[in-house]
This record gives sequence, structure tokens and C-alpha cells, in this order.
Amino acid sequence: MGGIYALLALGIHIVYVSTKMINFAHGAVVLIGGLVALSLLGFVRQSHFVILIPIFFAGWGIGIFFNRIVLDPIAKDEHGKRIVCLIAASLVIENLCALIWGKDSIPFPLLPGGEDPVVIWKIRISPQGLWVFGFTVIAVVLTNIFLYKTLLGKALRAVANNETAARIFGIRPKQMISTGFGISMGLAALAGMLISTITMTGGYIAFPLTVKGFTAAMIGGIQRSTSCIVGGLLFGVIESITAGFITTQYREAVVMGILLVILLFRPQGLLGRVDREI
Amino acid sequence: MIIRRIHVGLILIVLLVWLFPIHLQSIMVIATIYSIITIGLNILIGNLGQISLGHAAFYGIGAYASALLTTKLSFPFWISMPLSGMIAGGFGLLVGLTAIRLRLGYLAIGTAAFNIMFEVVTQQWETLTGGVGGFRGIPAPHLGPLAFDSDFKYFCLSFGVFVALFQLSKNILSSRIGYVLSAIKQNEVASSTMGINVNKFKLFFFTLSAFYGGIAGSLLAHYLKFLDPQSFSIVFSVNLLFMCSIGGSGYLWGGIVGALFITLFPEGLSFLAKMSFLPNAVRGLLNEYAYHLMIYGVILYLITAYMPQGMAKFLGGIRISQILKKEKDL
Repeated sequence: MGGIYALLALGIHIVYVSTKMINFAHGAVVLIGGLVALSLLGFVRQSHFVILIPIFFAGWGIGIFFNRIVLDPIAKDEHGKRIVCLIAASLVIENLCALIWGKDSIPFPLLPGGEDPVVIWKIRISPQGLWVFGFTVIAVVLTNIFLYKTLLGKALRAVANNETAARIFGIRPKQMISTGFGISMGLAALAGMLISTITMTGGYIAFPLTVKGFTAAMIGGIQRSTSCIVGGLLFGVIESITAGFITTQYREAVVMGILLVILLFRPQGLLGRVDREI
Repeated sequence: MIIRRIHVGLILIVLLVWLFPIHLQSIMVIATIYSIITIGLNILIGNLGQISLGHAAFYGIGAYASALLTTKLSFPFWISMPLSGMIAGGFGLLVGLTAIRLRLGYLAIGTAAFNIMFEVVTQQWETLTGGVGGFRGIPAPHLGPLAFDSDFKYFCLSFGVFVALFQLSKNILSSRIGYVLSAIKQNEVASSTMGINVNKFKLFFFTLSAFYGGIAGSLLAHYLKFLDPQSFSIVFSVNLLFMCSIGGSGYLWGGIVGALFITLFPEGLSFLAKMSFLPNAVRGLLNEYAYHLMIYGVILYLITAYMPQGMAKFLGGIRISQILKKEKDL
């Protein structure tokens, strides 16, 4: 499970880095990614790898649409309003999905490898979990290269940090923000496909997904991708330890309690730095 | 006591509700209960900019506290209601200690985490809360021989509590605290340099709104006589946020307008669904809950994006920061 949370946290981190904003509709895009992937798989009847690229671009499209319709009309400094609008958008998407695909969760075709756990160093891991984890690692490496090594990524971060200064240097902020949104939403849609191989898809999961991803990101610290991954894994580990040794019923309550305690003493996350901007 | 226009208005509202059909009366009870929560929440969201997604939990704490106090310890309703408000306020203080250190998205998720915690605990702690099956057998409140058992009588009770709490918050806002609040709203940093302890006030209002939530929860418990953990889930927190945003955060009346809107809206849609001139497909859709939520989402978005003051402004509401001015003019 840790891999899933890490993947969700990573998506939220990317939006944060490229737009300095917390995407409350992340779960909704993850949901839509999973559902679109499901329909596509039913349609083309090929392996999962064939539809990776279409799914990414579907997510990209949703991201740009999102940015245009939902966020453009609202002023930059109205953070509270943006959050409310994103929650509203998430609700609309979620219910649209419920109307199209039905309200119940749908099982998702598995990735190659089946469900029988593989034993690595005495730890039993399902191959599906390994796929998610592998994808997360690849995604971290690629996004880090993209954000810190390429010109486009640097421009993205520049806009997030100081829009006016970025504009002086000849970067178009609107284009950059929409690109950032597109990329992160594309990743979210891919994540949706991978996650649904483990947890199934459909139903009202968008908001819980957002909360869990964000919790993971906050446990680690939202500013760096590595700390997000650590947070995600920690989330998963805490959850399984509580389930294994203390109680399965109160699993979620324990994790959320730990989050509140962490927020009380280290609002910036365990590995995070203090960011005065937000 | 001088009879003012407002008193006549209040009596007229009660009389009007008396004329309503039973089914609409019960909706009005729910609307007043929601309004009570939104009074507190609205100050928090509109004037302190703190988006809380955890108020359904305080509402639930109030409801369960009151239910337990009356059934297990056989307290009368009149003691258990303020007590449950205080218990919810106490939890609000605890969560508030974390909440005042957070802002915006962080705060929203932190409070949402609290709500999830509450949800899990109420679902699992079956000996205390009855678990998923729900909590049954909560007595109806009574005053001497008068039992508040019908919808209309209960409306009178909850409306009375609502008016009292509304007046209380209005009084708080027209005292020194109101000045501080408008200063914080204008500029947080500047007001803290003027010697205002911003965090203390945030904590105060967080606790106050939790207290209001607790009272509302207690009223709900004794009205429904049955509690179900589902009704205090995070979905309800989001709904509360809607009420405040739709009605207009920062207006004292805003939350009330929002609460009325949210409770009457599904009624309106199902009324439309009965219309025979609409095609059957549309009528089927109007009965679909998912569709309702989708329309909510669109309306919420449109209002926050294009009508940031909310509906209250168009209905002639008074901004919280203007109350002070009004009081001076009188």
C-alpha cells in the first residue's frame, strides 16, 4: 500500500512545485484515469502498456481543461477560494463518473504477474504492488530530471516562485502553469490506472484519495519529491504495523492521529523545510 | 420590553412554519440545525480564512455526547445540550491547537484527518456508539408536561436555540472581539504588530464554532432519536463548506441562507421531477442523488468564482465587519 500513497503524494508534490498550490481535485483525476483506462482496456483488449500514452494524454487534456475553466477566473492570491473551487470541481467529476460508470467499485484487470505474492528477502509482496512501486521510482526520477535539469522545468519552478520576475525573463506564466497542470494530471491519470489494479476503481473514492495522498505528502514534507515518497511509504508502514500488532479496525484513525501530532510539532513535515510562502 | 420589528418577524416565521405541511416542517428543523453550525463556521471561514473540513466531527461529537448523557446517565436534555456543546468545544480546543499553526490547504487536510478519525472511531467503538448499526433510543426532550415530540414543536425549540445563539454571536461580534476580528481580516500581520494575539483569537473562534457544532449535534440527536455514523462523515463537512460559500462567507446571515438552500434544493429538484411536461429521462435524472451533488458542485463553483460574496449580499445581508458600524449608528 505504501507505494500507492507515495504515488499519490508525488502527484500532489508536482502540482505544489509547479504552481505552489494544493490540488484538492487530485483524487478525482486519479479516479477518472482509472475509469478511462478501464474503458480503454475493454475497448482495445491489449496489454496495459499499450494504453499508457493515451491515458497520459487524456490526463493532460483534463489538466489543461481544468486550469482553463476552473482556475483561470480566480485571482492568484485567493488561495481559500481556489481550494473551495477545486473541491467543487472534484465533486462534479466524482459524480459525473458515478453517473457514467456506476456507483460501485469495479475490479480492474491485473498487470502481468498475477496476485500471488513474491518473496523478496523474506518479505511477501504482491507483484501488483511491485509494479506500482517501480512506476513510482521511475516517475520520481523522471520528474526530478524534468523539474531540475530541463529548461522547461526550471521555467515552471520560476513561475511558481515569482511570477513577475519570471515574466521579466520572458517566460509566459499562463502557458507554464497550464503545462505544469497538464503534466501532473497526466501522471495522476497514470497513477489512477496503476492504483486501480490494487484497490479497484469507481465509486466515491476521489476525496479519500486526495486526503490520503496529501496526508502522506504532509507526513514527509511536501517540498521535495523524496520526502513525499518517504512520507508515503511511512504511511503504508504505519498502517500495516497498526493493523498487524495493535488493531485493524482503528487503522485509519491511528494514522490520522499521528498526522495531527506531526502537524502539531512539525507543520512542515518530518523532512520538510519551512516555507514562508504558504 | 419594547416590541421591535424583529420580534414580530420571528413570530411570523414560526407561524408560517406552523402552516407548512409536516414534511416541510421537518426540513425546516434540519435547516435550523444546520444554520446553528454555520453561524460559527462562517466566522471562521469568512473572517479568519480558516477552511475547516472537520466540523461534521464536532457536530457528531455533540450528537453522541448528548445521546450518551441522556441515555446512559439519564441527564435531562436541558443539561445535556449545553454540556455536549462544551464537550465539542473542548475537542475543538484540542484540534484548534494544531489548527492555528496551519493555513489553508494544510488546515483543510488536518481537520479532514480529524474527521476521518472520528468517523472510524464511531464506526468501530460499538459498545459506546452502536457502531455502523447506529445509536437508538434517544429520548425526546420535554419541559414539564410539554414534550417536544412533533415536528412543529421541535421546530419551535430548535428555532429558539438558534435565535439565542445567533444573538450571542452577534453580541460577541459587536464587542471588542468584533473589532479585533475585523482588524485580523484586514491584515493579519499588521494586527499582530499592533499587539493582537492573532492565534489566541483564531483558537477562540475555532472553539466557539466547535461549541455551536456540538449544540447543533445535540439538537439533531434528540430530533432524529437515532444516530448513524454516516451522517457525520467528511461528506457532511464538505456540505457545510458549501453552505457557507453559497450563502456568503463573512456574512452573519450567509450560512443560514446556505443552509436553507442546501436543505430545500433537493426538494425543489424532486418537485421538478414530478412535473409531467418534462421528458422521462430528465425526470429520472432529477431523482438521482449523484446528479444532485453534481449540480451542487457546479453551483458552488459558479458562486465562488463569479459571486464571491455569495447569495447573502443580494438578499441585503450585513457583513460581519459592518455590524460594528450599525451598532454605532443606532
